[in-house]
Amino acid sequence: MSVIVRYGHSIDAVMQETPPDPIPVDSPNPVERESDRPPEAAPERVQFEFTGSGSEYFKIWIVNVLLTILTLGIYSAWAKVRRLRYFYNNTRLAGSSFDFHGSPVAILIGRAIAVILILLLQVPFLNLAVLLLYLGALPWLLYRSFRFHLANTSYRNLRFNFAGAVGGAYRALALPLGIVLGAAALGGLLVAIGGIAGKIFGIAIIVIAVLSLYVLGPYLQFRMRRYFTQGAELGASGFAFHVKALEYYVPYAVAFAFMMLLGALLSGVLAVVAGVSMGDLTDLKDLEHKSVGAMVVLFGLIACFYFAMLAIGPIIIAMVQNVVWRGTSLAEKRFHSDLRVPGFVKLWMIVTFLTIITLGLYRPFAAVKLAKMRVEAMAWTGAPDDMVAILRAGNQRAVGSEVADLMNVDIGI
Amino acid sequence: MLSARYFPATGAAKAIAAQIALTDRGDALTVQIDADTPPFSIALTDLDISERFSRATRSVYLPDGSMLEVDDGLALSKLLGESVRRDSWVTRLQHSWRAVLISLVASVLLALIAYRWGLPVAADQLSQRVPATWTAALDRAVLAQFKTMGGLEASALSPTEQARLRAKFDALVESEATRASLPEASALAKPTIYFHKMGSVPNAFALPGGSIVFFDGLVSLAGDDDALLGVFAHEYGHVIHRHGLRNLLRTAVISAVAAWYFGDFTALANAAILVSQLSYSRAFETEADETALRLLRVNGIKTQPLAALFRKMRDFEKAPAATNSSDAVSDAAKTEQKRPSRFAIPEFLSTHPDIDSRIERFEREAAK
Repeated sequence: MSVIVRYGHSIDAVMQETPPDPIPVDSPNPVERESDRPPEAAPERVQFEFTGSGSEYFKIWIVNVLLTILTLGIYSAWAKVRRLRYFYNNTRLAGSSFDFHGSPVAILIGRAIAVILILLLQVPFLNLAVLLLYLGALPWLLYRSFRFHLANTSYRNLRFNFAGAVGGAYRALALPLGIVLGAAALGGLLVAIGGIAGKIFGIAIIVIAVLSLYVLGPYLQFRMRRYFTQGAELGASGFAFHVKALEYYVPYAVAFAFMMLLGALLSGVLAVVAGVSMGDLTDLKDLEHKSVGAMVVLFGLIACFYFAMLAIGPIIIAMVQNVVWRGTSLAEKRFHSDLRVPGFVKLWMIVTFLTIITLGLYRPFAAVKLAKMRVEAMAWTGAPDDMVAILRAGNQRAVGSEVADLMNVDIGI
Repeated sequence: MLSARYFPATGAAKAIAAQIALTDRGDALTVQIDADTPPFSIALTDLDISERFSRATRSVYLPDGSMLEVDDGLALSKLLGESVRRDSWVTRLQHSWRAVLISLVASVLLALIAYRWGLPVAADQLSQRVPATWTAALDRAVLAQFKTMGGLEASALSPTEQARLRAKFDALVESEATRASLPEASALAKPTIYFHKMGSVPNAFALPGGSIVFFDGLVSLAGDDDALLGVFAHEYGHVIHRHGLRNLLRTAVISAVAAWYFGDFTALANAAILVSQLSYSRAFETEADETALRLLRVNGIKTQPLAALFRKMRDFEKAPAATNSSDAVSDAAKTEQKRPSRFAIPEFLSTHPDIDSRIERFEREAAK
């Protein structure tokens, strides 16, 4: 439902089209990690640590599941705060851990509003107005979500804060989307009133505009992340974002290439299998006349394919984490992230498999293992002792965050 | 005495070593920051103390905004003992394997009970309260969905034929006998009837909102108005009992709960559940059959033609695969008929093993 490592990742929780709850393996051997460090960064790196344990989180989770059932869902807001505090309090940097201060009541109110909105979306005629209103308010909701999560997170008694203006959220989303929609509208106009050449030109513009909506996904994510990071502060120190838009496309390109490769491989294997023993195995029209063995092979292959497709999510998550955190600094000191993609994908597959065969009971273990791997891949080159606070922002209301969370906002298109 | 790190309310994030202890009376915390500063005490009731987790640090917030970070969370719990700031009952449950086991068993039991008894009752109650404009819009949406994915075509029946059948169906709904025997029917508006075509597939079904769809294939296969009235009576039974809406609401709740429980594993599963539940359960089929029997009986309509239609449809399904698979025409008909059923369009006659007993039931009624 939402993400695990929250202190700096809340944007990922809201925005990543691949869901949140990750899945992985044992933490990398510290000695290995040591040797992999680039020599020039070695001197003053402070490594993040994660001290949570799967069995402990399982106990917390199952008690909270029961209480949520007994209260018909109302307790889920308290459960969410417990979960966040568990992951924050177990995340350490230089011996101190993070803390979360959000109020369950604020979260509950936000959820109630989200449920009402979802119900309104089912009402004929009214739903269109509600949808437009929701889309129009989306940047504002994200802005509220950032403020809520950052203002309620602390480290060494210093509060994080989100200083970005709400207009920035509209600019981050509206500018690229506006260009695309404007181009599409222009194309439509040309088709409607133009001559033959105008019509062809108009259709071309519309096609390009629609395709660019897909291509723009990572760019939108980049702009949103930049807005988030540049607005974030810890005490009096600001975060800065040094990532280039193009770098955001690398994870998606790799995932896309992986998918293509897998598809080609599957087709090849299918063709060989079909050619060798079963005749036209791929002729799905006539399945009932195939032998049981052929069917098992066919469905086995397709199942393997779907399972391999699961790797796309963790590839993107791991690579985006590395890109984002290598390009983020706090008080002019860089963060590092060396999340190994193959290791993370392997862990993700294992815990996904275990979660499925245990009908979800493995989920808490999965969440802890994935969080541990993601957190312990990170380091910071600054000295926490030098941080200075001048700000102590008050608690923010949770409404924006919860509406966005519950509606599973998917900006990656 | 317990070691802690002290962080003042504002200023630097530099850790200052501190020692904490409980006062003799057990209602306040004594904080000793360094040897030069005199220790101070704060009433436990003024402290905000974070929950105990086994290996996480814990934070103690003082009323002046400063904070103490404690590495040994268990020692802090022991220090606080049974005071006003003892571990909360939820925290205690979370650390007890017995409570965890009970929670696990109770959660599974409650989920099963809610699924078996709570959900149907709630869905039935809720289905009575859904406004008519909503259900009509729902049906139009479902039909549009079928059109885009299932190859639904416009009916080839002439407008006069459609009007004639509609009039017959309306007459059945509005007859005195129907109103007398089915009081719940008079509270409902007449169902909207749609005619469509999907190859030669003989099918009819009720949509969740209470509209009824007839395929041309069924009209021509029946070739008899009484049989079609029988089919209509069966589908009208689904409408009166709001089977479609009840299924839909149950499914919606199940999907919501599954989404909450599994997180994001269910995006695909949800769609599958929603689609699969559009076909009715066996209990709903039996109930609709009973209503159909009653309607036909009170209106003096023969049930023999309906039983004969059942038989034809059963044979239509079985024929190509079992017997004359060399017959190109019926093979084509079969392929055509099988394909759409994969797309969740509900079927008038689902291939339940009890189809023969259903035929028998309508024939017995005819013999009376």
